[in-house]
Amino acid sequence: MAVLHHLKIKNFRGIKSLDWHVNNCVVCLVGPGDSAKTTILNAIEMVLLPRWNIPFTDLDFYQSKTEEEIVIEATVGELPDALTKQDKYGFYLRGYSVLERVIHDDPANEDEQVLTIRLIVDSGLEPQWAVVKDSNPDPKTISWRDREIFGVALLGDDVDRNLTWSRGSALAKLTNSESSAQVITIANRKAREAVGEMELEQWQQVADKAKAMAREYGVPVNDLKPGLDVRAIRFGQGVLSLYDGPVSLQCFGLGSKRLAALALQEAGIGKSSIVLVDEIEHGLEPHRIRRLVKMLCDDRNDGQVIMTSHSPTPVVALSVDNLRFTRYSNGQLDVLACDANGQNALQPVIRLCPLAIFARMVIVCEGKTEEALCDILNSVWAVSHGGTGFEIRGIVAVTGGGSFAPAAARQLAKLGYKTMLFGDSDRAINPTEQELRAAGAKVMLWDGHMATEQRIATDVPLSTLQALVSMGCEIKGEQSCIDSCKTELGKLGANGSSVTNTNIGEWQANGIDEPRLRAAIGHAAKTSEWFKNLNDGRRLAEIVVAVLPQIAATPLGLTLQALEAWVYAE
Amino acid sequence: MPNDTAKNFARCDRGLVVAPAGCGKTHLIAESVGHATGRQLVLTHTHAGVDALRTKLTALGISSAKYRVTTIDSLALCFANAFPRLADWCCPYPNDNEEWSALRLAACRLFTCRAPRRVLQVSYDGVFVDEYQDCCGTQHALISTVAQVLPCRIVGDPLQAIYRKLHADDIARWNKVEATFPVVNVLTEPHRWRTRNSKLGEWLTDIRARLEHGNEIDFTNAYGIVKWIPSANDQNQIAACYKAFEKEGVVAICDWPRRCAAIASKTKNHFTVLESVECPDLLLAAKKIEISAGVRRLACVVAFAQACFTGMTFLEDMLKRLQEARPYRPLSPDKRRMWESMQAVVDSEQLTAVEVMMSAIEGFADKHFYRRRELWRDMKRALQGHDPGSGKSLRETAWAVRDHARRNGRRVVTKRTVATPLLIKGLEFNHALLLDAAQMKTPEELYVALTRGATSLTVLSNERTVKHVIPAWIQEKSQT
Repeated sequence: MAVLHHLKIKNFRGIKSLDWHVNNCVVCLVGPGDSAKTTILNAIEMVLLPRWNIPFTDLDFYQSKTEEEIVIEATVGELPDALTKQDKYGFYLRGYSVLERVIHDDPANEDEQVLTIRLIVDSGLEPQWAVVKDSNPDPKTISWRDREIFGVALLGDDVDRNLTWSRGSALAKLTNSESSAQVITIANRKAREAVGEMELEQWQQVADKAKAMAREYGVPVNDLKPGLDVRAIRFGQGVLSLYDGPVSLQCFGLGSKRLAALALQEAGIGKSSIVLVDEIEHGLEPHRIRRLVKMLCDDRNDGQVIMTSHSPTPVVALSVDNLRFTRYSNGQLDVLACDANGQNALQPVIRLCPLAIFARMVIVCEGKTEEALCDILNSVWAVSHGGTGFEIRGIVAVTGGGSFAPAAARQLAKLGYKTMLFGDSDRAINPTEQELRAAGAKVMLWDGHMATEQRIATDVPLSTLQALVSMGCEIKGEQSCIDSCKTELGKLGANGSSVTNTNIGEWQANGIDEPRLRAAIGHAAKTSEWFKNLNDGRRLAEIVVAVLPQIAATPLGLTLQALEAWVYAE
Repeated sequence: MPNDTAKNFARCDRGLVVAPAGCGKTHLIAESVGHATGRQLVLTHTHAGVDALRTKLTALGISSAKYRVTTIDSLALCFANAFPRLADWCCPYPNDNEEWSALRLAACRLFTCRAPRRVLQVSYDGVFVDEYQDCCGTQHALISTVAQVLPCRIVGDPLQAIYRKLHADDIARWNKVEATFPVVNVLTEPHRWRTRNSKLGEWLTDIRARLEHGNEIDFTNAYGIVKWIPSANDQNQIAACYKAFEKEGVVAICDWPRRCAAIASKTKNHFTVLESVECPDLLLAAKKIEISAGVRRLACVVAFAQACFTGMTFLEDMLKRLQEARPYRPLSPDKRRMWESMQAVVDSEQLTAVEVMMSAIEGFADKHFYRRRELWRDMKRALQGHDPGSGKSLRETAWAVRDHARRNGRRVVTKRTVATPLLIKGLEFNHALLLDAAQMKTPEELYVALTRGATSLTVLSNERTVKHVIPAWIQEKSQT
């Protein structure tokens, strides 16, 4: 049943304007704080949830400007037959093309049949719900009973209300109202009897005095005594609530209460419905979050789930085409999604490092070596910048899976993240540097068409270089190291035969010039993958970072300084 | 009728019940709606028909949740206006027959599309259609399309199909109808006459069979049932009308509207004319009044008044005086008012002056007789509703008044009416007076004319017998 295809919002709270084609049955809204994610859910709730007494105030208008009316339009498909009757809204049916993402005013045979429900609130603060269609100048009012047919469940703030039998709560809807009233009547009666049997001496004395006075005035009373007022217990304010043994469900932890409230709502409307969950992780441990996500998303055949999240746990349970990125600027809200070719690049990044989605700025590294370098740089810079490192500045460095890194960087940039591509310049990248810059990403590649290892080998002082080689030998074995160096020297045209150990000084003494020496080592490190994992990469980074002042003027140093500047820009 | 008829009718998926005049057709439909499961869509042609069906359904105690009664054209219109792009339909209300045909075809297209089909299927569980013989070709096409979506049961009588000449090119052949909707039953019990003149009912059942076979009908064989007057000259016709002056619910039937008007005036308006639906006289008069001016306009109005009333000679005198510019000193205040209003019509360009003059004439009407009350009434309505700023002519406004009256079924049926079969089909009277059997040129017209009276039937005919060819639809059947 009911699937939300399109949402349009005007002048509602923080949103001046939103035009969103939802385009998925499971949607997770992620975005920076104050980017109106919860407002989107509230808007859907207001237009589709069957509440008739929503109190609107001036604050619900964009910038409190009540001259501009609030408009929320939801275009909903997979309609139950009850709503498409001629007497109901059959004549307001419109069509939605999922492929083209367009609403047609009349439903073509290939389209999904949809209805557009519009909520308008003007300065009079009276909400009006109607079904609208362009070709019909008279919108048709839709009652809250009909909106109930859509079956929308919301998990938001007021959890406790749903755990009681109060007006409009999930439990109340599941119960026959007459039998609830009966319980109250019986409860009243029993309470009255119980009070009648209590020892109420103090009150009885007062009652006796009252009797004497009343009789003086001619009131024919005989047996005045205190008793429970008939209006003491009244239905409506949540008189009955759920108990687990002697413990009220309202005393449970937040996470459990939320799950219970959601379960009750689903019991009332059935599994096919639109479920809105604000901050799905709120109050729940990771395994319960995963379970909830599974229940909502995997174990249902129809319906729709729209959730918001600040946590990586649900993101990992979903795929990147379920994610929607909210980008807010001066009232204009855009909800972005990955495009088809971007998905392939971004999915592995997110799998490895879901935290990247919640970062402000993302450094997409080509490989583990670069990521390790960032990691070590972070600890050094944090110290020099008063304890503020990546974590506090909202920066995450991720590995882009080699050839996918540029594509991932472009996609992230398009999604509004401040992105930098950091990596080797030895191969042509796809998409190209221009394309990346056009998408808004910063590109930081080494000068000179080199990989990281080569750049380092070229620019560090010789002592560091020696340390590098020694490390390489430790990691890969001395002989293998020597062999690769020999091979590389040979490729460069130098005589590699004299290389018998890992003492660079000796190599130089044997006539190998410095540039060739550096180039050979760099190449060897790269092709033999001396530092291609995080741990080894970190060790390499440590020795580089130790000589940062000395390499300040080298291309390596300049690039790292530029990186620092980007990280610490305001 | 036995209960089974209605029950079986309600259960069939597609079926036609042939219902001769007065055999309880409306009752059958209402009962069947009651027996059917779910909500039924009941369709007919005019709003008068809608009212009749609703009355019957309420009388039988059937809950209004079980049905919706409307006209075929209204159904087409409301669906087409709801899905204008899908139906390729742009005008909100059709203005002439051509546009109505286009609308019905647009609705046919609509009912082959998924969404409107869904609305139809979800809203109703079945369809009943009344007066199927009045359906034109486009209406039959529309119902056939609907029959592919929902179970569809129709009721009609081909022997009462006298609207054919109105449909011009848009005819629905009865054989095609029977091919789409197989006959499941034929009603036989002449309920209309059972309590009032059962012998007449039986005689009419007999002549129906004769008409279907092209056999002759002998009025002399109906002694005591049908009063036959052997000569149909004018004198006898008027005499027969006079004889009916004491009675109520009488209809005198002849073939042309002009003749009806003549009869009405000759009977000193004891018989009033039932105007035809299109009322060409109204439209023509409206056009003449509008395009003329000054004294000519006055002359048109006077002519119109004379057509509608008897005893309007004083108006002619006043007109002559105006034309010859002779002075006139009216004696009574009524006549002075009349004179002033006539002068206002000459001097003013506005049509409101004409309306004022018509009110003045009505002041005299109690002394003189209404000959054509409906005509007069509708001209007044047209003048009242006419808005010069809207760009519509008086003639168009008058057409709209007639169209509105037709759709709402407000007919002026008085104690004694003179009318053509076209106007009285479906109506029931006490006494029918067929002024000249030879005027009924087709078997269908004759059948409609003979079956209008529930208590008595009088036929004037120069010949003892009357014989028609076999009806077209039966001929076609035997050919295939």
